[in-house]
Amino acid sequence: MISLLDIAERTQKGRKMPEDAWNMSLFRKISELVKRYEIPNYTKDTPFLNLDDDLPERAFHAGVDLLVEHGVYCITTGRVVELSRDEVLGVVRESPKEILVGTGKDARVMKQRKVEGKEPLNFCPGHHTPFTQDLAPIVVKNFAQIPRTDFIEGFNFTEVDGHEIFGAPIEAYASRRQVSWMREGVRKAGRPGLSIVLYPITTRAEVLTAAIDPVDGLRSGDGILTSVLPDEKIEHDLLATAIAGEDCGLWRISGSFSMVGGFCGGADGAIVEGIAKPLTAMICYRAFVNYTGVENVSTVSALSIPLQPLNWARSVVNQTLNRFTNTICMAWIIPTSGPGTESNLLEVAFRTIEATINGANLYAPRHSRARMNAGQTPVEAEFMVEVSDATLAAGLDRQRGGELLSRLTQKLEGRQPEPGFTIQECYDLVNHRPSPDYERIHQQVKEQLTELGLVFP
Amino acid sequence: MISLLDIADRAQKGPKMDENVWNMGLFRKMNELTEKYHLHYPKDNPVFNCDNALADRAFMAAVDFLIETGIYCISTGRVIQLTRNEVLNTIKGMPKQFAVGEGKDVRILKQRRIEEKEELNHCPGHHAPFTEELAPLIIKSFAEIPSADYLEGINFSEVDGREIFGLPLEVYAGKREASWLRQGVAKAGRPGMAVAYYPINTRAAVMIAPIAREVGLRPSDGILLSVLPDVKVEQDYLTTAIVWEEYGGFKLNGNGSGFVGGFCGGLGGAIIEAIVATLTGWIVYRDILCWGGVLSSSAFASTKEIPTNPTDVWAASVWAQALHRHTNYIIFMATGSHSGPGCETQLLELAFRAISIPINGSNVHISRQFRARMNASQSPLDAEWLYEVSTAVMKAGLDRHSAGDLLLKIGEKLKGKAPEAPYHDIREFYDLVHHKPLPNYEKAYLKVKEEISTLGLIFD
Repeated sequence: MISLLDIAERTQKGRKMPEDAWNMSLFRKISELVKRYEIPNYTKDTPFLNLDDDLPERAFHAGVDLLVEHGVYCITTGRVVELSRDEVLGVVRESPKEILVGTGKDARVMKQRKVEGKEPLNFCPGHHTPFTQDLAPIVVKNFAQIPRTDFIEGFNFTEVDGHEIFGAPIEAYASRRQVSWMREGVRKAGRPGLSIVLYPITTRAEVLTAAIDPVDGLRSGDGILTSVLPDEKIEHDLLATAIAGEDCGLWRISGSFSMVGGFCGGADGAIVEGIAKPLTAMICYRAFVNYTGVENVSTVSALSIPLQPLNWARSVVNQTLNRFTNTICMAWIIPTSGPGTESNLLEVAFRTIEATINGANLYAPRHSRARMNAGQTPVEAEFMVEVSDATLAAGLDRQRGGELLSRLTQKLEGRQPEPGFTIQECYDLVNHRPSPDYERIHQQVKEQLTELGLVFP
Repeated sequence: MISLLDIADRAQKGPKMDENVWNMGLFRKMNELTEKYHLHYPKDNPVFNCDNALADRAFMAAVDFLIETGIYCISTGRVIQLTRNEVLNTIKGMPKQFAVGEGKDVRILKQRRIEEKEELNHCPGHHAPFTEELAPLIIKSFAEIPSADYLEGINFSEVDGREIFGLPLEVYAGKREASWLRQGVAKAGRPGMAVAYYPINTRAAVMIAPIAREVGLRPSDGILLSVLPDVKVEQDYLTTAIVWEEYGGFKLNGNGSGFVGGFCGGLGGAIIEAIVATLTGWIVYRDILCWGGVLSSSAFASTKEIPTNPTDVWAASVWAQALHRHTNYIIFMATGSHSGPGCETQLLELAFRAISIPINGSNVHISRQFRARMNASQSPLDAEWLYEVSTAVMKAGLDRHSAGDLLLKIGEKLKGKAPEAPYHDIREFYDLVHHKPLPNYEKAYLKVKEEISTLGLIFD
């Protein structure tokens, strides 16, 4: 497998290219690959989830060709990291299908899943969202208390110890505080060995590596979020962190979904980028766990509830990665409505059903446009597990799952995203339970899903 | 005591200033303070300062500088402003001694007294470039020196056959340096010996990455975080200091120095700058020990003649005395040589510098050729010699006056000599496998020792 030091050298010595030229060239190359491999676009006749078993193979070749023929762009040096086919396929072949995270009794195995698999999925309940310092001690504990939790990600904040977080020195301090609170939180939940993942306060390498400390910070078995940037771009800060993390036994996770409407073009081009990106994460950062799929700008901006063609495109990407690579896929569940609302839980259910059938593990449900202390509660996380288990219990395949999702679509169409509530307004953090109103909504949504065919215990 | 987070806030929010404006403002303020506090070389041409009042005035000038001018952050182009109370209260928080290392290899680093008579602390090496192939033996060899209290790291331009170029490879190299240091001291039978990281470069990520309790830097280890010339600091160091402070390691300032002929102006300004730079190391980075002094820029860079100017020695003694009389600072003296190792001239230069160490209440720092060369800047014998001479000065019971006379005599031997550097690789004059000099170097060493003995020092 190509080494990270090789990648580092190529970022220094590869061919120079202005970023604008890279962007336009990426657009042209992806358009060309879409044609070469006949990647279709979504139409009204396309099944809700992909049922064409030939398409993933073509999509895989398109993703590999993108890396071989176009490379990866380093924004720090403005240079192109070029890769040979052998190097790309070597990583595809040799990357692990499962990794061990955490330590001692709390160690868990993160695995690649199968499309239409039957095993319960891996699960990260939160955070990846902003919380204030005063809530940190109890919020972390609450998420760590969820029994199915395999690892837990950090959170961000704008002030620490009364200081605005501004500039590398205070960012490094805040980074250490974050992991220290995480360590304390998982201990309080009785799971001292639970794997924690640093959610970067900022992505400067010194801020990321400052959190490494086996006693009160990140230790072997913990992870760091090192995401590949949109449009096949990487950066030195994350590469340096990956090298440091590799030395300390830290695993990496990358946000590797593509965005319709970016330089990759439409859903067809986003499929190609959605496959190349996790491969890039594996090659350049040794990130074997990736939250994968296809989004668009309006999803992450919480402007409208995202539906097709994203559901179909995501299914193509995850089917491809699960069939032709060892990527450990996760689905980032990002409802456009805030917590404490019916719309939020319906969106969580919708995307969880889809993820389960696609063989994507469950990752940090969070309001897509997260607000301070109002991005998530443990309810959505626990609900995600409930829905995923119910999907497995119902034995849904792509065809039946697609039909169910089509019916669920009717409940979401035309809705406007709801802002939701702060965690204190809809959740009792002391007793680890939702407020009575939120619990009522939770039960009502479950009933609706049961009517659609899910089987809850 | 002002916190490092307060300093970080001020580095982001203090008044903006163009760096050239800072430099010229510093020059004017140093001149003003030099006159205000009468910081001039006395007419009786002393080698060491014997006027306590002058040392006190130099200290007051330095405090005034910090209050009236502040500290410049080059990363943000802003001035960190401080009040008198903040400066004085923070200075009070300095420890007089602290422990470094672990287990049986723990050593106590202490502030010494002017005209010290007790065993000094010693950092024999490196702070010098060595190639990867030599690293395992070099570190072991320096760690075998019995007087060594801690060791500083090495730098190198290639690692695993790759040029060190760009942040990712620098991070990797930083981790390797720390790992080699750990292995080296363990091989010398001193696994708990403190090591101080010598930055591969000064990006914060490169300085933080080597932290690793098992195979890298431990909380009982240290890191070099030096104040820049002209009272300037930077965010990379401040970030590292904040992380390091919490981790527990010690920090050292390699530039408690003033340079005659820089923006600080003449000798008086250089004394003030040296004291300010030392205090700044503590205030901004919590550097707990410092090496420094006063140097002429021209002498420092000299390649034609070995400088033996007594005014620099005098100015350094004012610096040391001011710090001893008003702070708990643990100082080491910068003790490099213009000549390369392996020859008589370098040993004489080191003897010249070693005289000042106990007289100024300093500890013994690295003997390295100023203009360091790959694999050829220092050897364990130079380090041991430096320590031997310092110890002999104490045994002889020298005070400021008698040490001044001795120093002038050694200076006479060096007068007019050009620096020498006869060797290009440590293996040409030192046997790293058996930790001993090769015959020619041994001969030169014994000859210089004999010469110095005739001047009045008594060696064991």
